[in-house]
Amino acid sequence: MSYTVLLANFEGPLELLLRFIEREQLDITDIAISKVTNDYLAQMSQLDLEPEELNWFVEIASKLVRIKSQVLLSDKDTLDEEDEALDLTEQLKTYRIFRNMAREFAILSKNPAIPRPRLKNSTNQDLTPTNLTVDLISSAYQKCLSDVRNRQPHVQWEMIEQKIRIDQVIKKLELKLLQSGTCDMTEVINNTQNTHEAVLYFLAILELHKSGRILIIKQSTGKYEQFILRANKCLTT
Amino acid sequence: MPDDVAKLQAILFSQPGFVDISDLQKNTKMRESDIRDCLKKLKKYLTDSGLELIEHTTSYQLAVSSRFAQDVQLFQHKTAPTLSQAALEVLAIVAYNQPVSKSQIEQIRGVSSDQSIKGLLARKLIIEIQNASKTQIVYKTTGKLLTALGLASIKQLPKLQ
Repeated sequence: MSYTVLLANFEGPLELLLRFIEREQLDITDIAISKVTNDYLAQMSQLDLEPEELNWFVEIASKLVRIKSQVLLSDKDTLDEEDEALDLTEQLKTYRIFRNMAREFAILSKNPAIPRPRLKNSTNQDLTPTNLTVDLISSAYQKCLSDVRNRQPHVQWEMIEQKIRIDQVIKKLELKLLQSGTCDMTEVINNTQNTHEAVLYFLAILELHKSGRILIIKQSTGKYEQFILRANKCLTT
Repeated sequence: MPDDVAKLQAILFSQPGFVDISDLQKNTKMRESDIRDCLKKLKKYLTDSGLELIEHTTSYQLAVSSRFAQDVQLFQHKTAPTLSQAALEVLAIVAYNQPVSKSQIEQIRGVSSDQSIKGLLARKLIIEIQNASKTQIVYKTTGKLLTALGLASIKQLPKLQ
């Protein structure tokens, strides 16, 4: 995975100081006499810093002020002050090295080595079983096929080819009624070849009755009831 | 490619992370010196290929070569997570001074580095350990830093300027 760099304005007091030095094109060793102290103090006063961050800035500021006052007073023989300037110079030099290396890292991170991704929720089930062979799969398939062949289905489904349409059935019924005038509905249904055809004839009877082309007459003879289909006037005209 | 070399290549390819040489030794029954020889050969075989062998202390990882990082990232539609300048500075300090303590890091940067250290720990780019005398927490880089920078080993870190 690679990382890109978020460039903040600056990351700390040393970077702020370094920026002033670089802007003025000064050598780091000139820190004791440079005018960057004023710039640093001015910039620091404008920063909105948390107390802890402020400590770090103030520490550097105090060093700068002490060094500057030393220069102004021209009391260069004081060992402590020289040490302080040297310390700050060294600190800046060291910081600059790592700031530059951070920039190198940022460039390098644009071309990372990419590791193989880790599988999410990987379990042993994701792994290929060691006992899996072509023969094993083949025999399992054969067994499955023979099981299917031997199985007795509870319900047998019959695919019926639709050879006749309802409009044809209506025409047949109309013709029959025109020829004979009446017919027994039970006989009509019983003479069909299969359930599908019986349903079609029943629907045709309902359609003819609904459109008023036939009449359905109920006749009772003893225990039996009979439904007689009779051609209506509009059918015969 | 000799069988032993190919075997190690296969094992490393199968693992998404770094594999320690002791694990390779335990599982392949090969001697450590032979493993090291084979890995050297593997490194040579992989020269100019799309993969590279990354070495971190006693661990190894096969990864897509940094030369093709951008092509792979484009293919994967992945965007790189971001590291702040502060985090990169801390990373550089740790990489070149490890093991290094937080106070040493802050001394060099001249500023608090708590958040940056926490972020780098969370991304597993650095780890914290106890120093030799077990009196202080110090930080070291991980193998993930090498992959993040596309380096085959810590020796390939750029020279300090």
